[in-house]
Amino acid sequence: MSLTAEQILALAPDAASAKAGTGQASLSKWSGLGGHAQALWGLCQGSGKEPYRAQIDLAGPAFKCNCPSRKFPCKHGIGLYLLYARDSAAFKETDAPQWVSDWLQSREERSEKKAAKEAEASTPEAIAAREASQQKRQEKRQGNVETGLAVLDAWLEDLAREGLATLRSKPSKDWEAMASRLVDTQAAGLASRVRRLGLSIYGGGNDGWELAAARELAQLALVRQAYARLASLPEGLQHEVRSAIGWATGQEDVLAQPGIQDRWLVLGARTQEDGRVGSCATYLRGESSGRWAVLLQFSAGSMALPPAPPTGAIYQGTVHYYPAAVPLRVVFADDMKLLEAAPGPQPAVAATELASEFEHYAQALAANPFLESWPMALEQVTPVHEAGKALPWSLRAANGDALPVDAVFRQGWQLHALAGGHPLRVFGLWQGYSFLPLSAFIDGRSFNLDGGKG
Amino acid sequence: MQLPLNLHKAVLAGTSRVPFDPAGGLAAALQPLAGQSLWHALAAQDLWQRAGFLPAAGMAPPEGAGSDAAACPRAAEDILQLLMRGMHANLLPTWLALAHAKGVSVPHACLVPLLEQGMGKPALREGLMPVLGERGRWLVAQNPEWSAKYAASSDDAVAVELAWNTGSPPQRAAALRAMRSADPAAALASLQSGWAQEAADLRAALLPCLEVGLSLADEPFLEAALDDKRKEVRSAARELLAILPGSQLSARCAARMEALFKLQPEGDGHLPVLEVALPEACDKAMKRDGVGAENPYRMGEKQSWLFNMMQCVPPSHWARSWGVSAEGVLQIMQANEFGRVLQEGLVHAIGLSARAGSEQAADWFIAIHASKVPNVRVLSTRFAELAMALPPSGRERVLHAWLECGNGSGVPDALLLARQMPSEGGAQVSPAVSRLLLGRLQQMMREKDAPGYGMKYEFETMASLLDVGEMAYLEQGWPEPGWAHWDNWRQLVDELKEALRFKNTLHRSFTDNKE
Repeated sequence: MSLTAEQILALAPDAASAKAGTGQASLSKWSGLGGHAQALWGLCQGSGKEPYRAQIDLAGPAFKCNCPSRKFPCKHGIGLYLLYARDSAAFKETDAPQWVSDWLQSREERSEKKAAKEAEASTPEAIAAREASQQKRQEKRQGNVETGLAVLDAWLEDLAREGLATLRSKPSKDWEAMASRLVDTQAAGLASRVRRLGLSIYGGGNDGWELAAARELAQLALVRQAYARLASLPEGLQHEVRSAIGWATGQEDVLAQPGIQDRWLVLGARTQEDGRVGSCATYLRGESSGRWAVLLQFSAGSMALPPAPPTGAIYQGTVHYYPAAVPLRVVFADDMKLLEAAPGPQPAVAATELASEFEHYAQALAANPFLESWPMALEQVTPVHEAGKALPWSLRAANGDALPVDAVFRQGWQLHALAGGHPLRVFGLWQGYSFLPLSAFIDGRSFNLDGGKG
Repeated sequence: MQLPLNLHKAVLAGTSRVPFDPAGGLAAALQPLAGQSLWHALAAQDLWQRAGFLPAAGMAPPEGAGSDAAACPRAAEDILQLLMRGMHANLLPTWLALAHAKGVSVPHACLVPLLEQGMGKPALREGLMPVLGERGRWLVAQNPEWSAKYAASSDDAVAVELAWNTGSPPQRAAALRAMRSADPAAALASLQSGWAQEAADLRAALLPCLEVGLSLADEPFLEAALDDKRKEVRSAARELLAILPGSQLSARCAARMEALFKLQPEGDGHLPVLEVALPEACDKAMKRDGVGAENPYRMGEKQSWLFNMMQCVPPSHWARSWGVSAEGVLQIMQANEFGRVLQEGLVHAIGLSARAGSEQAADWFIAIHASKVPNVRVLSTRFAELAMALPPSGRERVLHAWLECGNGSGVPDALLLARQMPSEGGAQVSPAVSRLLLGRLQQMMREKDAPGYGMKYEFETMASLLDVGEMAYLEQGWPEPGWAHWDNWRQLVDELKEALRFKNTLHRSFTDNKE
């Protein structure tokens, strides 16, 4: 089993690496190619004297190479995998050489050690100790956040008094300053929303930006007010408010929660950049539980995004949900493994009734009014183009109901070309007033439509 | 989604100008924090609207695209994805041409990026149009920007007519060529009807277009053009008449030279000896036929007259009239004191006969280099270029012979010719010629320690020309692994091999079924 070339290239940290990787995918560059059910390996003649040793653990997929590149995965890893996808006959099925089996073994040992550590961490004494130290940190942080929120209050009140019509005539650095202030006071979640909002106001040219900006400001005010009354909120909602402000729940705490085991289909991913930090949200759905799960990954500075699960693939294993009113975000447990890269054609699914999708959305919104977007896999919808409209693209369900496609979606024609005026499955996010497609599925193949990655 | 009017106004103008009453509407249910009541009311309104969203009903289904005859093999699609990502991007036209030949259209997922790429590249558009398929044409029809660029091609008679009547000079010339290939006689009539009114520059630009579909029916018009006021028009007419087999111009020049030539038989087994008397004077009729019009090689005046006349006579005339082969003609001429002049004229005549589509022209190109007389190297640097006018099969034959000719004189011209060929869109030479070309390249390697400046270009030419059907020959003939200079050459050689392997994969991808 192998990923498709598209999926492999999507693993590259950036477009330049993807291109360099395709350059490495030629037999003349490699020797000692081999593989078995678990891994692939090969020697690549680089500029150095000794060839580089590149290896891939297929279950991750995870890459390792002893070249000095700081890109991860490096071009040799990408090239090796592409070569395998194109010409698997060139890989001799043998036992792994020492350097491969050592690596695989160390990976296993590491995950065992991690599991042992987790087991240790979930003893009652350890939990109590951690909670005590957390308590202390939290109290200090609470004070900080309060200071930041007081500034935010004054700022929001000013904006309400002045109105949004004159906003663009004021300097954009006010927004940056407000965001920095919120970072300083440890409210990173609010800070990045303020920064994004600022960018959308000064960057975007669309009519009606005032309304969208006003709604986002209202959301900020709502989060802020909810925080003021945090103690009176139900527990799930408390988590939502705290994470909206910028409180992060530690991964170990999440892993200590009971997990859910399932076969998980990767439906799509959304990558975003906001100046310093890049993020990638990968959406999965459990086959038997029917639950949505979101894996969030981040890049910061020169650190690229780690490889995300490829769209269309199936994973098997356990996920642990972050505590929330509407649990979506997860951490993968160590048993999460790539099961099938491209499952191919699947049995026909009944057409989506949009009305019932929105029923679910309303319920989620009732449980978590801070919900920004909601994943939807729409079966048998058809993209429709209406020239001249503010939102020219719609998705038409089988019964004639239609959803407007978000203005930021840049791949309308691509989706149209894939569908050809016929129904297909589109996965994406309902953003409150419009739909943002992230992937399409037709003839047993998945197509990534996320425009966020260079 | 609209907001209630008072809320909308307050958001835009600010509560300092539009007093906002939180007691109205939804806001009544809230316990607003002083100063932020506007935002709270808006947040509540927003949630209320979002929770109650209903999709618009009753949208009519769009008109779907028809289905394509043959699906693109998955392996070929993967290759196309790599090409579009910039790997061996120069092979994109080859992919499109192969797809066209196999009756396959561009996979749906690649249509939009290719259509976008083609917006600024007319050559790509040309290759793309025949393989757009049902889906592609359906898509183009819906996007005005694309449909403007990917309009019907130039064989559309109405568009040609319009270009001919109202276009710019280059457009009119292109239209005239299109008209000539459709109906030479009608096109000639169109040109003749407005000939007297055309500006001199335009006459000079339009006349060469008659080369398309040239026949004796054009002769009277061309003869008349020999008397044109403009020099460029006269020389264009002369060139066309020289190309035209059986033209009176050729016959007149041949007759004048026959009068100057005297062939002395030398007995069995020997070629006759040619005696040449230079023309004494150049009369009006000779001038009209271009004698004395040009002297590109700074010959003596009378020699240049000979050269001018030689140019206008098809080389086959001499073989016929002297009863010898092409090599014989060449050797007879070389033995003469004016051999250089005669040969140079003959080379130009050979080039013109290639343009006339003569079957034997290739033999003459071969004979020039095959001739055993030393110092046969042709003066004209454009000799290899002239051979480009041959049909592909003839060109291939010439290339083969030049590479193989014993005295080695053909090799530089062969490489020049080979270098011109890749521009002809995905041309590929036969396995036999590929072996010879590669052999020459390997020989060049052995003669030098390190690749010179132009060597990269030489390798690139090979990468685009060599046959990729049977790949085994690519591994043969290289210097020994222990060769001292391998380090200087390895990268070029590896790149060449890789490019050819990739091309081989590309070709196979249309027939292999990976799934």
